[in-house]
Amino acid sequence: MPRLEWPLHIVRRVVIGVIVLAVLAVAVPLTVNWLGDRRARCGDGVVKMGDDRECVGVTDGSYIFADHLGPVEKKIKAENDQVEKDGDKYVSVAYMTSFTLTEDDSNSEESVRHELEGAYLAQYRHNRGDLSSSPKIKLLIANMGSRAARWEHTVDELIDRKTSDDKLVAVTGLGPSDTQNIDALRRLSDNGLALVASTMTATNIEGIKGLVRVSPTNVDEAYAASAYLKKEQVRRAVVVQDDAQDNYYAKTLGDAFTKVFQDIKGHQLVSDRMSYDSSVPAWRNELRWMPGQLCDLKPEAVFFAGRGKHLTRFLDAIANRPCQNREFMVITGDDTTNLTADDLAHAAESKVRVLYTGLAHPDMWRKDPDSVSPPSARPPTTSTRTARPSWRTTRCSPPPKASRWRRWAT
Amino acid sequence: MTESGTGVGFRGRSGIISLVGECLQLGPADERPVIMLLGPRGSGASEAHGALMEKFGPETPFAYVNLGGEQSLLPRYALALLARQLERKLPRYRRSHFPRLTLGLLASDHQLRMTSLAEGRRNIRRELDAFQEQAEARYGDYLAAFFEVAGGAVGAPDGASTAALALLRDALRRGRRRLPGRKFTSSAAWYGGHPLLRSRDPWEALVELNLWRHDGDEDDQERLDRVLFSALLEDMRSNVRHSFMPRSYLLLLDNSHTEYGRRFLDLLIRARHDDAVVAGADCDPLTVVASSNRWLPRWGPATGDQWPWRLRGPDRASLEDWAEHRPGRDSDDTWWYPLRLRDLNLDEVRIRIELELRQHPGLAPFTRLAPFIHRLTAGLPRAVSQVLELLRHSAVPTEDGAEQDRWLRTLPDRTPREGEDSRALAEAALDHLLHGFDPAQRTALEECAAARDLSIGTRLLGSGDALFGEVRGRWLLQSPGTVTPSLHPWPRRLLLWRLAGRPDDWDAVHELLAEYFRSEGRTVQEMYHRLASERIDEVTGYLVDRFPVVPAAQWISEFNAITAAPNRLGQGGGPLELLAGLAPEEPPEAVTTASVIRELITVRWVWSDPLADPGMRLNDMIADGFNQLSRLRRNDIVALFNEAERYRHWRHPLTLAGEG
Repeated sequence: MPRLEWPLHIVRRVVIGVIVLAVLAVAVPLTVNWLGDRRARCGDGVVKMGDDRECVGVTDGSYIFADHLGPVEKKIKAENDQVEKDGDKYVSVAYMTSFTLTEDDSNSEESVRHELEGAYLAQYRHNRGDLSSSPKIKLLIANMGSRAARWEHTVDELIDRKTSDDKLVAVTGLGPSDTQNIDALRRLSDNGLALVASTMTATNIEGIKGLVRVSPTNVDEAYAASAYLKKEQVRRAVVVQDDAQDNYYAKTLGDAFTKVFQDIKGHQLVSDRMSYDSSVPAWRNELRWMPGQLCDLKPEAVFFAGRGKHLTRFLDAIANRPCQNREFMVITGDDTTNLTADDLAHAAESKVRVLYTGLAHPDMWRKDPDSVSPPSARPPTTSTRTARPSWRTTRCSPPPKASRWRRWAT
Repeated sequence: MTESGTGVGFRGRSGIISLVGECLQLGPADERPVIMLLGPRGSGASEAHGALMEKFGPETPFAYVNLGGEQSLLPRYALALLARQLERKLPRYRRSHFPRLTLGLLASDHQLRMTSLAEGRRNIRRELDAFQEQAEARYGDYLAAFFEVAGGAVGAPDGASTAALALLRDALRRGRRRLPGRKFTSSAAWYGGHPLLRSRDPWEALVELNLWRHDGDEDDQERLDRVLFSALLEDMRSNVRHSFMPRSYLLLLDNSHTEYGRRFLDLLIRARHDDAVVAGADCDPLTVVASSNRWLPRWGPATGDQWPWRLRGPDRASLEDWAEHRPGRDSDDTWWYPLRLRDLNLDEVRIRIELELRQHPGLAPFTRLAPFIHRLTAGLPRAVSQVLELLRHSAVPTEDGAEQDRWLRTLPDRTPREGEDSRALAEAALDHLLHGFDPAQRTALEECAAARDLSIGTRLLGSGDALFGEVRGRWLLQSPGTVTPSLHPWPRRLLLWRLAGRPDDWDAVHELLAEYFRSEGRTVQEMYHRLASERIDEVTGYLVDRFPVVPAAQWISEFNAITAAPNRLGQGGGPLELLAGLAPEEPPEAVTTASVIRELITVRWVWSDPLADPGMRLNDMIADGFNQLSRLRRNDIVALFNEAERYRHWRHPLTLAGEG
């Protein structure tokens, strides 16, 4: 073997340099990625996304998506830990919706909190309560972000949980009925997860394998509203509808009411639908000039096919209507339950009678029929456990707060 | 101590540095000479070691061993010292190991407890391991223990620079601590195959080494040393076969003319010759630079007639020169490369003074004195340093002039105002140069120095050939190339200065020598000594008679030879005062040939002595004298004109050739 005569200290420096470079070549990208991940990470399974660094993803309750969700998430975390600690067989069910809400969302913080509380109660009952059975259930909380804008990340994260220790089998929640949510449903369905939509009422959500809904459809709600109006001898109505393309709730609700209200007995819509588009910034202005038209058309009822948060704006506009001597009755769908008590109190101040088709569990009809408006009651069509639409009216006082599992918000 | 050996002390020795550089660059198995730096004490050999250390020490494993210490240095101790230094870890290379040598030293260190060879064989490994552990527990590593008994031999060489000293300290300090559990006995197998050992069994061979040391006779001791040297060279060969190891090791042996130094060199040359020529193995990678102030007896008589080598000059020293002149490989003389250290020339003295100015700005007024110092010392490096040191530490008039001339007139008797050495210059210089001569020899030498040809002086003055041989063996004769075996000008001048202090002896010695040359018919030499005896008229008569009968060139030659005579003129004045004292009692009334020649003789006689005319102020007077002579001669006057011109536009010769 030939002698190497290179200066040893130079060779050592070169070798050490090469090793250091090699280590750096591996370590730097890893560190950058780690730092990036750490910077983009909110908690296990939850990352920051978008310009506003919104935390989206899936958590077992260890990460708190919003302060108001803290108490219930802690309980869910405790229950999940207990399931793992007990060592019994378990599977995971995720509750997925938008938990980080902004003004652009139709849901309110209160409504999503109630949904999560309901989900926790169901988990508790299944694991340790009156409905205790096996395997146990871990409840995962999946946040798609405001307007479900990060649904793809969250859905991918859920799909990964199928094969992880979480053993995810089903996803529930899944509202509201808009394009993003329906796309998410399809992706989850394609990956073999069972889907239980809690408050999705849009009629056109069909053909998704593994999806079941526990709420009535908008057609059901339209039937209930129509039946009530006819019972109340209302013959002239008008439909105000949100034309936003991804708002399936509004579209199918308006279509259904238009179809079922008009009949040969003289019930008629006095005008073509009056529409606004909530996807454009000018929707408030569009709602503002509608009262004038309504004064001219003189309908006895206005069927409002739009989100609850739009309804409050609509009611504000009507309150300032030119024909103050004319009273309007506004009837709308179940999304009104997303309004907060303050919203409803504000609506009440407009002295407009507002009725809406709220969702109720069948047991509510059985155990307390008086709490449901009989004229509008209609046998369930989707499943035996499907909630029925029931009347809630408001004039001077807000409706009772929904805090139970069967009180859904859309 | 100087700041930089290569800058000051090693001026004029660049050939040696380049030669060592060449040797270190050779392939590991190539043959290298044992470079001998030869010259009298003070010729700069130790400075050469310091300069080599400074030049190559930072990047080459080196060892410096001074074999001239007062303490005797057995070869085994010298080997341990140099191995320990060569183990120094350098950034460029891996650490060198000397396991065979160390094992050999270990095996021959303590007397083994045994009643039979078989028992010794059984126990030796355990005992050696125990010895090693004891030494390591006490000194850190086994070789470090040798510093206890021989550490004095690694002191810094004279004139070593601070950089060289730092390197040497580093080499001594940074010995390694061996990893625990690693035993030298693992290299025992090599001893089983060594031709000098009878036993083929490694352990029995080590027992044999031990017996040689503790129970053997002189031959056994020598065999042991040969085996140890062979082990060192084998360790080196083994080291340099590996990657990241040096091609060569540098060994600096100072004062190798001492008894133990000669023994060390003998053993080294023999081990190399046995390995590289007799056994046909690769040559060891050792670059040896040894210095000697003596002729080594193994080279035969000091005449050099029986030694195939002729001394080489350091300026053109090179491997090519060595290969061209080295005797055949069958003789172990083939490994020598004797370099005679020459004196500094005028330019080198001048540069040396200028370089000294960096550390000693006080020398600035004396840069003009470079020709004086060169004439006075003939460029012997240590003499130059001593004169500079004296000038630096004395109240010398700094202005060039008569006062300075008067001060310099008695320079040999001057003592430095400060400094460690309070002896007069002549005493200090002679003590150093004649180290080893007893007082009687020194006195005899003072007298013998009166003769230009020292061999005649020693023969006539009864000291015999022994003194001459001693002087020749110490390289104290003027550099080779001169026909007359005369003493080096510097010691001769000092010895004559001492002799001048004994006026009767001075006159008697010169009278004796003059008579001898008269009887031999060598009138010029006779007149040389007559003039030394201040018999100016006699000398004038001779030269006046010769003036019309010999060619001018020959006359000038004889004139120069005679007027180069030493003097014992008074010490009280400058050149002109001295001349005044030599003027005839009755000045001539007219300018005659005799009056001109007499004056010329006295002027040049004073001029020839650098102590009498340090500034060569008499040049113009000599030139005038030759001019006048030319007018008094009818023909053949060009040589006289030329001589006048030579003194009028005097240019100092670079090297001293007996003039001035």
